[in-house]
Amino acid sequence: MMDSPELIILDVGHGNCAVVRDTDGVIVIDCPLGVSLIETLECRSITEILHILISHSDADHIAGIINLLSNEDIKIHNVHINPDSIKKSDIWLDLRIALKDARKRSETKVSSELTTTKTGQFNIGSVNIEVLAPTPELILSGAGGTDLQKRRLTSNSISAVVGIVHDSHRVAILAADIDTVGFDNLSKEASSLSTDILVFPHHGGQPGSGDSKTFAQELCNLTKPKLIIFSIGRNRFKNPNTKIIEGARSSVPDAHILCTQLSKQCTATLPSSKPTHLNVLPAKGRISNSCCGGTISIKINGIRTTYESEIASHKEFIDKQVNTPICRKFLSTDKLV
Amino acid sequence: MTVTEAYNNKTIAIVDDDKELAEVTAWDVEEAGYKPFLLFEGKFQDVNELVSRIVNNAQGAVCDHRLINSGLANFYGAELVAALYDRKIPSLLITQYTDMDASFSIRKWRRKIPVLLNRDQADASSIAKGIEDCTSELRGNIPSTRKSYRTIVRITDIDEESHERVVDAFVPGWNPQKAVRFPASLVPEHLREKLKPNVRLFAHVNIGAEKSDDLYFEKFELAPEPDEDDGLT
Repeated sequence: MMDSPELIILDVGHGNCAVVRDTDGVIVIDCPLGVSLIETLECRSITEILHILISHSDADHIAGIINLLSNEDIKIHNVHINPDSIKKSDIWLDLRIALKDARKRSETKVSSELTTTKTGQFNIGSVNIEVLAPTPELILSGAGGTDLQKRRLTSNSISAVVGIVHDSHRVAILAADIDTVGFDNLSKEASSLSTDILVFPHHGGQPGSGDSKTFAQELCNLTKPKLIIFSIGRNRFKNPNTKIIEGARSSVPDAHILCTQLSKQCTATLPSSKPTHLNVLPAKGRISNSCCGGTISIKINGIRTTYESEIASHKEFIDKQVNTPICRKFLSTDKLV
Repeated sequence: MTVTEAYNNKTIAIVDDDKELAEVTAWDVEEAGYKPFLLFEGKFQDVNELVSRIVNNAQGAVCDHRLINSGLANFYGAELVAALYDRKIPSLLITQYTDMDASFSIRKWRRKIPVLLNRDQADASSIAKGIEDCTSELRGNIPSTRKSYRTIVRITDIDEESHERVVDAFVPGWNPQKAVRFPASLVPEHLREKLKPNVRLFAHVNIGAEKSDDLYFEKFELAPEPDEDDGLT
């Protein structure tokens, strides 16, 4: 029996994945490559998923759904995904075949719309799920089209942004890969975006054509997170971008910044000893000692949601093991003490 | 307690048709804290015959892959390691032909080969760690890189290698950008005539593997054709 709902932000390397569970079921948001997700489900004895939400069709968000759908030990009830130009690709056909197999085995249903109109339709137990972006109008244009201001839309622009709300309090925003165009549309649509936790878009990489620092400032000004998570892979890309960190710090100087894996910008060499600061959940970087924050587990409890113990152990790890932590680069001197 | 003290009551068989290489491996095995038992002579016609010889003299093995060339055995080291796996004897496979053999003659037996070492990686520490990892797997602790899950295999080509049919395919749930090769003989006989480009199969694959050389395939099934009216076209 669960004592309180749980939000798990997984260390999947470069990619995004989150699991929300409460008494009434489990929701998975994004399915990247690798086995971290399947192992996490095994670790929590989860054999049924009520909804899988796919934010957009980039491989680091979608490729792992084929493994989940094909897995005969996991029953998946519903998959929600927006259409995209990837529909013509081989991997899209692979996905359709995996969906057909899952439908025949366990009556999995698929919905080809994941827009703001779906808010409230994925609630589980006491956890409400918001779809903050994209609007149906953006999806009608789709990747390759334009928004109402005639700006070009990419797969990232139409990323689904998901809010996790408990007891009328927004605990987290999972921002997928939303870029400057998508964010501009989102900020015009939503009345409030404040949240405790922000899983920063696009792994802290370039937000499309706009200025990275300004993007981070504007996003953090609107969301005011206490915890910012960058879901990154140590060996792929140079994330998070320094300008993003600078923008976030200037907006929310007190926020705790946590990367799932150790960026090469923070330390050129990995710790030689096994990590002791991580929880028991699977984390892709664990085997190679590449974890920084690793996989994060948050007990959801409305306005009283806390993650102080995880933050404390993460801070201690950085103190002891990380030479040039980018998360502290723009901290004012008094906060470094 | 040193590593040597911990393991010095265990013997590791070294199976290699090249005496000099066998002796080099023996030094590494000794440095790793084991007693070496060298097997570089003979003519083994049956894998079980060599397995019995190893089981009677050692508690683990380090096997070269290409044993056929010089006539030490008429089977590959990969088959020997797999047979030892069935007998719960921790065994490593060593080869200097990884690029040529990993996708074919080694892939056939890869599920039962927990550790594959390139010859240039084989030293005392990699051998000690390899034996430790094998022992752990044989006790049921399967690491995430070795655990198989059902997933889709998309065929891109059918070719021939060493007079046998081989399949080139993508495992999109492992890496959608990297093709892998495996022998068609891994696929059940009744499905083999259906193998052709663009056909999808389901198979159990260790999708947590880092490198394509480490992938193994088993339990193949034919995947269904997608429905034209599934709303996703």
